[in-house]
Amino acid sequence: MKKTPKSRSPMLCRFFFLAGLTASGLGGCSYSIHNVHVSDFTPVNAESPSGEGRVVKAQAEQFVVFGFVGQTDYLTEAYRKIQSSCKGGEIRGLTTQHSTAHGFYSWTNKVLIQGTCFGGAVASKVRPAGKKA
Amino acid sequence: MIRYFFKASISVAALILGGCVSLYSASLTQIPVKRDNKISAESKKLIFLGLTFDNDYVDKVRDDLARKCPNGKVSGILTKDEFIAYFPPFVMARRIAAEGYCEQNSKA
Repeated sequence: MKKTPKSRSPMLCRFFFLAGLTASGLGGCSYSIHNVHVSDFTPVNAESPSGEGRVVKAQAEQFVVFGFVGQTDYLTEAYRKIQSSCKGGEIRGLTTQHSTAHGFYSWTNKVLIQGTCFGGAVASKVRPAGKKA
Repeated sequence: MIRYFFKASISVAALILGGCVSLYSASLTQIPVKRDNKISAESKKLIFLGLTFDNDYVDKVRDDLARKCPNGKVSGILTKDEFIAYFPPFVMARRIAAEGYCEQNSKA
């Protein structure tokens, strides 16, 4: 008796089901960092005893499905955020991390910028230790 | 049949992915207190069939920033390295974009 193509379909279905299950299960398990950049540190002590420095952070994300995206504005968004968190101050010791969290046929690009704010609206309220008004 | 399928796949991929942009790397330098004078520079290189023989387009960004801030100091530089798929895999591009703040040297 000849095998008809229909007799293979349960096997194929099982294969695709298992492949789909594995892919959906593993999706989101991987996380990769693409690059890290560190700028100048002056002074080295982030939160110095003088009480001047404070750590500032900014993060922005971009959700991508199948790679369909036409801009990378999330980086500029993080750039704006970190500047607004240190108005009137200088941000030193900046680290920039660019990473991706993978999902099921989709992924999330992330940018995290961290630095130390010297001066500025909040930091200026902290009087340096050892200095009298 | 296979040839037809191959051609169709390439055409569909090119049409769908055409214009997609992805970020390859990012960096940021020390952000100054004075953020009045903003400057930016951009350089792009078209790549056909993945063939490229130099990376000189990167230097143009540095030269442009220096030209826009003569005798000054450029800081708070945000640098983006992007990949653009215009008509993959035939026409693609790399773009370097940088923006920062120019502080003019008062002594100069």
